[in-house]
Parts: sequence; C-alpha cells; structure tokens
Amino acid sequence: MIRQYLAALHWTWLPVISMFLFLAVFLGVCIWVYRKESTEIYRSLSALPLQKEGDQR
Amino acid sequence: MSKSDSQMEHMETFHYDDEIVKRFTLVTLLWGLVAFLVGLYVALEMAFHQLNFGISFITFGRLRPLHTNAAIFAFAGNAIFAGIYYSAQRVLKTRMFSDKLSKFHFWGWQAIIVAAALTLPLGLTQGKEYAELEWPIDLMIAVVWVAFGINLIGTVIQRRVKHIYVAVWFYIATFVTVAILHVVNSVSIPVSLFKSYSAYAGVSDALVQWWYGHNAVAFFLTTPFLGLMYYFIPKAVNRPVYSYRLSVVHFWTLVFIYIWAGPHHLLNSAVPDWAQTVGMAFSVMLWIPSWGGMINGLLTIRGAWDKLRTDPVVKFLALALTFYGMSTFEGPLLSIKSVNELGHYTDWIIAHVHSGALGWNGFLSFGMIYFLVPVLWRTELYSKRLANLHFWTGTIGILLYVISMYTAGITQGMMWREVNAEGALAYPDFVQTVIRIVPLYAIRALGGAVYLGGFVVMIYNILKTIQLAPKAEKQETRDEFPRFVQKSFFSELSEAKSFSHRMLEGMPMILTVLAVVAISIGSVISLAPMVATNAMVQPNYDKELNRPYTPLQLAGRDIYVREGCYTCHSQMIRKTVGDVLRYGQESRIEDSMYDHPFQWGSRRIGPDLAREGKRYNHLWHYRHMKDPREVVAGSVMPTYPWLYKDKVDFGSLQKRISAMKTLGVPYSDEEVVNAETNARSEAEAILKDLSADGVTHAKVEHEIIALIAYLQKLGQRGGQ
Ligand code: HEC
Repeated sequence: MIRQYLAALHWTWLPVISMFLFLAVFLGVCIWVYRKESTEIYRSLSALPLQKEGDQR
Repeated sequence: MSKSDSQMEHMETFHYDDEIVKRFTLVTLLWGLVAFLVGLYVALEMAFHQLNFGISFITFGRLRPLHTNAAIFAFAGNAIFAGIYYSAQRVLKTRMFSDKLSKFHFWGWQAIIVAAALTLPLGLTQGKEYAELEWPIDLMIAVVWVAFGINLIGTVIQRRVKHIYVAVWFYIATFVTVAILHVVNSVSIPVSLFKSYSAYAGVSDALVQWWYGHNAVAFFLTTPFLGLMYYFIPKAVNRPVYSYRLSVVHFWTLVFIYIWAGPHHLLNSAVPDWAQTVGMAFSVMLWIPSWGGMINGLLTIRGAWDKLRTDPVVKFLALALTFYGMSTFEGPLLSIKSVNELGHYTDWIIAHVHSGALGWNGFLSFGMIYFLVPVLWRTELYSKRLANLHFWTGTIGILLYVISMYTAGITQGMMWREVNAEGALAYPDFVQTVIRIVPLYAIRALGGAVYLGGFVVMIYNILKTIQLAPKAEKQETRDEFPRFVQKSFFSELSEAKSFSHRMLEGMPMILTVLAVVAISIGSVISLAPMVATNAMVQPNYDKELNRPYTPLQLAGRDIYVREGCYTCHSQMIRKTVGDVLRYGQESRIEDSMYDHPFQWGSRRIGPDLAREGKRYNHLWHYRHMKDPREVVAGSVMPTYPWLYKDKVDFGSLQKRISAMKTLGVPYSDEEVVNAETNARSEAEAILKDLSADGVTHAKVEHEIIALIAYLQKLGQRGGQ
C-alpha cells in the first residue's frame, strides 16, 4: 500500500523544496550572525585560541 | 569576556591532559607510515602486476581496502583525535571530561586498527567501500566512537568559558554525523563470526553506501579538519580568524549541504533521475561554503605572510588550504553529469581523492604535528631545514601523483567512449585502454614514493625533537581561568537580551540537536529513493534474467566480495553511449535487487562485469583467473592460484541462503534445505563442461568453479 503510494508520487518536487530549505537556512544564518550583540561575542570568541596558557604567561 | 558575565568569580587552576595528545600524535606517525607504505605497494602492483605474487594476502583487491581504511581511519583518524584533544581542552578551558574515557578511546581505536589490518588481508570484508570491516569490528567502532562522543560532549558541558568556539562545533558535528552514518550503513545480518550480508540490496544499498561514503569524506576528512584549521591557523600566525561571522555561516551551510551530495557517486546509473539531480545540485552548491572556509583561512594568514617563508608550520597549513580549495572546486565540477560521464570510473577520481587526502588532510596534519610536538615536549623543533625538505618533497610527490593520474584518467575516459566513423568503439578491447596508461602508473608510484620519503624525513625530525627534549618530571600544561557558572535554562530566559546568542553559541545541546536536524533533512531526502525505488521495480521484469542466485552462484559471489574484485571492476552499465556500446544494455534496478551487498564498484581498472555472463565459456574464465595474461596479453589483473586449491564450504550454504531469505530474497524452504545438494550438482555440471574441454585437475569443491558459476550468471544474456 505505502509502496504503491510512494511509487506513484512525483518526486521531482523534492529538489525544489530542498533548494528553498537551503535558502532558508542560509538566510537565517546570515541574519543570525549580523545580530547586534554578535560583534562583541565573536570578538571574544575569536580571541580564545590566542590566549596564552598558564605555563607560558 | 563580556561584562554581563556576572558569574566571573575566582580564578581556578587546572591541568590539560597532554599525555593523550602525545599518544595520538605518535600513533598518527606510525599509522601514516603503514597507510602510505601499503598505498605505495598497491600503486606498484598496478604498474607491475607481478608484485601480486599469486599470494592471496597481498593481492590488490585485498590490500587496497587496507590502504584506504588505514589512510582514513588510522592516519587521518588519529591525527584528528590528537588535534581535537589538544584544541578542545584549550578553547573550552578545561581538562577532558574523563581520563579513563580518553584512554579507552585511544586503546580501543588502536585495537580496531589492528583488527582491520589483520582481517582485511584475510579477505574478511563486507564488500562496501570504506566500510569493509566485518560486523564484530563494526560493533567495536560504535562503542569506541560513543566513548569519544561522551568524552567530547562531557568536556563541552563542564567548560569554563561561556561560549563555544567554532572549532568545537565542527567536532560535535563530526561526532554525531559519523555515529549516524556508521550505524545506518553497517546494518547487516551475520552468518558467522566473520561473514555477514548487508541488510540493503542493489540500488538501496548503493544509496545508503554512498550517502555514507560521501559523508565519510565530509564528516571524517572535512569537518574535523576544518575545526583543526580554525584553531591551528590562528594559533600558528597568532592572529584571530579573519571573520568569525564567516566561520559560522561556513559551518551551518556546509553541514546542511554536504549530507545531500551522496548521489553524485551514482550519476547516469540506475538510481532515479531526480535523486541524481538533487545530488548534483547540492554538490555544485557545496563549492560556495567550501571556498568561503578556505578564503577565511587564507585571509587569516594574510597578515603574517612573512611567516609563510620562515615557519614550516604555516607553510604546511597554507598549502593544505590551497589543496582544500582545489579539491573542493574539482568535486562540484565532477558532479556535473557530463563531466562525471568522462571522469567517473577513471583515475581522475583517484587524482581528486589524493589531492584531498595527501594535500589537505596530510599537509594539515603535518603542519599541526610540527606545531604540537615542540609545544608538548617543551622544546624546539630539531631541524627546520628538514621540515622544509619535507615540505618540498611532499609537494613534488603530490604533483607527480595528481598530474600522472589526471593524464591517465582523462586518456582512458576518452578512449572508452571514442567511436570511429562507423559508430563502433575505436578501442573495443578494454585492455587497449589499460596498456596505454600503465606507464603512468609507474609515475604515480614514483610520486607516492617521494611523498613517503618526505614523511620518513618528518618521522626522523620528530623523533629527534622528542629525543633531545628536556626530560621534565611532570609535563602537563597548567592553566588558570575563572569558572563560569552555568545557569539554568529558565534563569537564562529571564535575561532575554543575550539569550538568543547564548542559545546557539552557548548551549551544546541545542547546537547538537540543530546539527542533527540539519543533517537529518538531507539524509531523509537523499535516502527516500531507497524506499521508493524498491517500489519502482517493474512488475513485468524478466523473471528468468533476474532470478535470485543459486547456492553455488552465491558461494561464487562471496568469493568475488572476499577478493575485492569490486576494487577493479564495476557492475553498473551507465545510461551513456560509451557504456552501452561496450557492455550492453544499461543496468536496471531489477538487475541488482537481490545483491546484498551491491557491487556496483567505483573504479574500472578492468571492464564492467554487469553483463559478463555467457560472454565467454567456462574454460576461458578457468584459464583467465589462473593467469589473465595467458588469455589477454597486457592485462594487469592479478593471478588467483589459490582458487584452484581452496575449497568451498558447501556445509555453510544452507545458512547463507537462509540468511538471504531472511533479508527478503524469495527462496523457497526447499531451496534452503537443498542448498548443498543443488550446489554440488551445479558444480558437477560445470566440471563436466571443463573436463570436456580438457581440464584435468579441477574438483567440484574448488572455489574457481563457484566463481565461474557466479560470473556466468551476471546479466545472463548480455553477451548474446
Ligand atoms: C588489479 C585490478 C583487478 C582485479 C583486482 C581484478 N581484475 Fe579482473 N580484470 C582486470 C583487468 C585490467 C582486466 C582486463 C584485461 C583482462 O581481461 O585480463 C580484467 C578482466 C576481467 C575479466 C574479463 C572481462 C571481459 O569481459 O573481458 C573477468 C571475468 C574478470 N576480470 C574477473 C575478475 C574477478 C572475478 C576478480 C576477483 C577475483 C577480478 N577480476 C579482479 C583487473 C582486475
């Protein structure tokens, strides 16, 4: 039953939906990273790898 | 730290677990040596077939999986773990969650590698690329991987910093995705301790396998290395990453897109067209985040170009990024159907893979190790000059490798499809296209040898560095950092201002869940045709042509899988003019619907075998497998003398047929019970035929008889 249903479906809409999904994710992330408070957070985050360890100070 | 961090309290002193990093670093060198040596040997076997020596353990089909597994899981794997254990502790400002789990992870992983190194040459394999290991080892992998995951996420949870650095996101995505890929792809039904059949068949197996296979590249050879890049490049040039924003966009787009791209390994095949289109579209799109990441890395180095001349670490990292850019440009290109038609099954793909593996993964690991060893052992690198020598030999090695393989791939691809004025194949004998490229195999081996030479120089340099390092009593790195007190979810809610950011950058669980959602969407959709295509089997298919294997044919198929014939032969005639002219009617879904596992292959060092059945008589195969050059001058196929001595275990056939029945292959109960008798009488018939042609020493039990039965079944009427 489910098999027949699946076989009868036209799957070509899937790629189109996928595209829109991706666009949504992409735009979402872009808006996300440009939020106001992000600048400060990202500055402190990107400094993390550069911090000297206790022994080296 | 921002001022809102009112939790900032007193400083805490703690130590990083450097011991585990040292261990993973050292075994990376050891397994790298093994992986490269085996790679060089199989490369030489291509150029000089005599090196197969007629010895089963070292024959190409068995060693090639050992090479790929060693390179991916032993060399790259241990390098990743070394880098993750080092960098995660430092950006999270805490020791690893559990020393015991770290140790378990280390020894468990080494045990898996040893088990792989023992079983693969013995021919114990599931016959699925990069997932060859048999089910008990698969279970070990699952357990050890979960231990790693608990340790990683545990460390994230007990961190001292508030926000999680982007490298760690890449590590978390690596953990969850590889776990899912491994479990789903490995589902199989065991027939004995070291033999199992994949739960999926034919086109379904192909879709699952390449969803796995492609994402092994994505989430084992890309995301963890990108995480390492985001830590070690800033570290090496002492500058923050060029754009942190870009790194976040890079992460989410890459994780979201990568998972869809699997079907680009199955272009022009029997997989439904729409699925191929999705695979192609997303593969092309992958180019954008990949280059975004590469540019971000290169621009981070930009402010320190002087170091590019003086610091070997920076040199290796910069070149690694360049190779990353090259292979992520080439990947999308190869996913375009028409380009793929030319490049697929040829050495072009081998070139592509090695610019990624040797250039990106290799050089990034080398750069990282040159950075780590002096820091961990508190000393200076023994010799910068040797490191520079390594850099140049490595680069020349890769160039020799990829240039020879591009030439070989494009030459062979063109020859396969070239037609003359009459519309017939210009090179009808497959072996003509092999003989042309064998000299290039020698150059490739030379390239590999040069690269390996550079690596040996590195091992010497590193060992010397360690030997000359001061012998300190306690070498763990001490650090200080205030503890950040994690608030409950609800008190967080009340401070709404920074909440949204806290959610993503701060909460590992939400981040993990979102990453799982991102990869699940692509997974579900790219695996959907698996359910659908089974339903797409035409009800009026040729019942005679597409009947299940007889017990003897199945025994032969198991030998085919064991010997890794799929490393040289495909069983998928594509919907392309060149393929159809050469091999017969295109493969359809029904042709492999009982194939647990599928054996479509990915490389044609020899011709496609999908419709090999009845193309030649039994005697031809009998002589060909014994010594291919006796029948086909110039062949590079190995000899298989042991098939003429070793015996098929007829007693186990009933169990094997029964397992297939469990998996849904339509055998009757009688066929299960009579498996052994049926197999013997079929073998006797083949033997009679061979005797009539003058073969005297063959016996019913000999494995070659079963293999011939299988080869003659393939595609049945294709040769007629
Ligand atoms: C190192 C790569 C390699 C491996 C491994 C290999 N082959 Fe081959 N095979 C070739 C090449 C090259 C040819 C073409 C030249 C020839 O016919 O010998 C070939 C040809 C063949 C042919 C003849 C096809 C035709 O239609 O002319 C058969 C059958 C065959 N191989 C079966 C096998 C089987 C079965 C195995 C595993 C036990 C195997 N091969 C393993 C490289 C390989």
